[in-house]
Amino acid sequence: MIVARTRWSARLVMAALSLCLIGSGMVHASASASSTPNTVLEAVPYQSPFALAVDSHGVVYIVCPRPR
Amino acid sequence: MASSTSYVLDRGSNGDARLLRLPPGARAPRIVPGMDAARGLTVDGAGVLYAIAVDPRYLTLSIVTLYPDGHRRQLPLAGTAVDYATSLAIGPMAIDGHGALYCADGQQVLKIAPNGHVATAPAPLPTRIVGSDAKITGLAVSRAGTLYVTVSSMSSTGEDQAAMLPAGGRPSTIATGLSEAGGIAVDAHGAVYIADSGNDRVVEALPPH
Repeated sequence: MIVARTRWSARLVMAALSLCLIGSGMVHASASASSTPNTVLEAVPYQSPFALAVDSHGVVYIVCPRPR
Repeated sequence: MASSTSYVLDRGSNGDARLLRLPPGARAPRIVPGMDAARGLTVDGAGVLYAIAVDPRYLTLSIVTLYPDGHRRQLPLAGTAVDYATSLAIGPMAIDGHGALYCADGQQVLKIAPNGHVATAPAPLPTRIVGSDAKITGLAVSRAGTLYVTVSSMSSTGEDQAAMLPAGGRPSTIATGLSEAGGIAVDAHGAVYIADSGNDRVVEALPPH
């Protein structure tokens, strides 16, 4: 098991990536009861992440299996 | 997990668990003793850890509080919303800025008062978000008290999704097309992070305002 720490700083680059993902239909914004559409901003590849947390500094902690 | 020290609940296939503690800078975690019955955990801003403990001998559930100095407190859970026999799916936990604990139990979110009384959260998830076979697999709460959940369809054909439940508002979906959705977290600015395990990625979603 690995606990990875990452800062989501390259938002512009990743926003472009997420648009690609949205276009491919892998992850997409969905209709909601609100008049404001929901948006998936970013999608970063990690192998089978299954738990995560974020601290008060915006650091995201990701738990994923150790690569075989 | 917390800002300076990470905690990971490592559950085996037999249901037993071990709580791992990873201080900042450490290369290997250490086992926190006496937490092998834990089902879920969350950490508040002061570094106090809360976990649900299951005791199969006496068919009871309790909340364990572990303070940074090592002091420990255990309080039985009470209330009509919690029952050992039907709470074996109990798991993901979160704590809000006022100290209220939340715990996902299958298809519902429970709110745990400081005295251990358990009640169903005021905004139940509609069936369009949590179907009859679905299960809540991740839970987070913002400073404003909005609950965020990941929902697994528990089927090989259905897709998983993430939803938000504003305090006093209507639940809405914030991400669909997820696969084997795991944990979910929300930061101080309202950005939501989702473990999209089956798609091998972490997704950041922007909820509607």
